[in-house]
Amino acid sequence: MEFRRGFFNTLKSDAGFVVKDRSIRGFVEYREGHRRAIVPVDNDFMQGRAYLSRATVIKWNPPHETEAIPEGKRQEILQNIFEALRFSGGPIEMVS
Amino acid sequence: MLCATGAIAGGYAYHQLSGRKVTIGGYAAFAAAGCLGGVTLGWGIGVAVETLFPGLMLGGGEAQLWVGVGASLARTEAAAYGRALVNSTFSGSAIGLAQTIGLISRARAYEWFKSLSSNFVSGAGSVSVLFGPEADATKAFFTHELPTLLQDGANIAIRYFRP
Repeated sequence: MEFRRGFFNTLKSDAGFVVKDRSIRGFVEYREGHRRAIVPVDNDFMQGRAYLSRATVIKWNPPHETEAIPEGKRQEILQNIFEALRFSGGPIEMVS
Repeated sequence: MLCATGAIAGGYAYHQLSGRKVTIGGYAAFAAAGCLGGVTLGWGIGVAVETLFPGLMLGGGEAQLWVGVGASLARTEAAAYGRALVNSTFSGSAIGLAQTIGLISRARAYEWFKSLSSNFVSGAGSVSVLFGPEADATKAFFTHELPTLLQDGANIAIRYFRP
């Protein structure tokens, strides 16, 4: 998977998704086509590390909020975010 | 407040500089520039004061810490009870903004936050901690923040969060 860095810490993947890295503020914005989701990311400032939980619940923002995200897709989105944040440079860990 | 003061100053400056030919657009442009300048200057002063006098970071208010829960929950809790998060200080918000607009990397932001967090915790006389299910002994609260708080004799209130 290849990434391109855009303005405002936006990471564009050749796989067709975009991640806005706002992890310092506790979240990232994930965009796939017209769908957008805000996904929480935990920070440990003292250890200088971000954590993404495998159990994170993901919901699309309006107007797609009623669409259920299958488990496989949820895992794929989390993995995409993890790869994007790893590309963005700071330490990131996927936790259970 | 800073924006309004800057905007008034900008409007006044335009009034003085433009002579007889004044336009609504001119007032608006100078007011907008004044607003931006006011916010930037105020922010800069805030960061400078926090850097020189870390004890003033909380201004006598209560700090909100969290362990084992997400930052968004801590933010909600802090907003509900008027507490301050490290991210909401002048310096914290400046680091967050610098990272958001891509001026600094996440790794650099962590470096700066690490030093800021130490000052934030050491200047706190009163702290409320939100505990969550993922709290464990490796978290920064136990390894860094709690020892400092205990050493400083800070008042610590703990609230457990159950999802």
